[in-house]
Amino acid sequence: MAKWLKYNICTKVNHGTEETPDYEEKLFSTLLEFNESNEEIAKKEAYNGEYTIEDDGQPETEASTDDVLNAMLGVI
Amino acid sequence: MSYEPYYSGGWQSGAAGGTPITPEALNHMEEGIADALTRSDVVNNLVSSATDVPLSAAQGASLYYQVSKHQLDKENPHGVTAGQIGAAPAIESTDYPGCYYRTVDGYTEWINPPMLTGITYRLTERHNGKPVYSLLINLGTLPNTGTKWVSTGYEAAIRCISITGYDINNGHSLPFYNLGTGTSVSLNFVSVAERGIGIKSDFDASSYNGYAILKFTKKADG
Repeated sequence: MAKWLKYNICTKVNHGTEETPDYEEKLFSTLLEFNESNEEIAKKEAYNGEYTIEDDGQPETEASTDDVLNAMLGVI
Repeated sequence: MSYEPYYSGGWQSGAAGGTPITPEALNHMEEGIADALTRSDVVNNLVSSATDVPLSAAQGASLYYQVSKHQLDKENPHGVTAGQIGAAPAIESTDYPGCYYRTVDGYTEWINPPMLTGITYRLTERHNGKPVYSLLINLGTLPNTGTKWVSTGYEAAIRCISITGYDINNGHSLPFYNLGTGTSVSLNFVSVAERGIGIKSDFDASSYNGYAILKFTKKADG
């Protein structure tokens, strides 16, 4: 089974000005194909350092990227 | 100089009118026309309200030059405003000088948005008559071989018009293909339930920090 790193990337959006900033934190959910190097990426950029490792339930060589993502996101 | 008619009685048709159509009279008229074209005492009649003052050749040439020059002036010489042609006026953002928007039917539509990361901008641009939106997404660090998916934050309510990207660390465009090594990074709009950006690299692209610029329409707009 293929493994995926699941976490959020946080983007800070300034709705104010440079003098009086008004930041909003927006989270964008992210999936990253698991390997040791990519796990280091997840550790660095995951919001609050929080990430999970999940199996997608699909054989590694038979599923397309869309199939995998659909499986990960719970789409039938 | 006041005008004095050559034949003060007024020209009359037919022999009974007594009009002297002679070579002398006709030549006199020719001389008058030539004189009017070259005389220097006719000064700036272009601004005169008189209807009986001749226009010199020089003035005619000047007029022709000015009109031709005006025809070629494409810099809005009359100062026509957007409102005069029925368009909403462009408003410069106070927070982001140099960025302009219009307010149309209560919507803020950007001509050139500041493109802050993570903010969706409705544009003045249309696609098949529908409003186009633009969103800059931080893709983070690109994969060391493998696939990454980053959500747009939208579910199945948007349709992709175009997607482009760039790597801010090395200045590469996305998608990327290395002509020397044959390695590449793909960039796609992925149509799963939660619409997202799919990136796939076949080499160690972890030195890349990617951004994607997505343009899309919303199903809610029809």
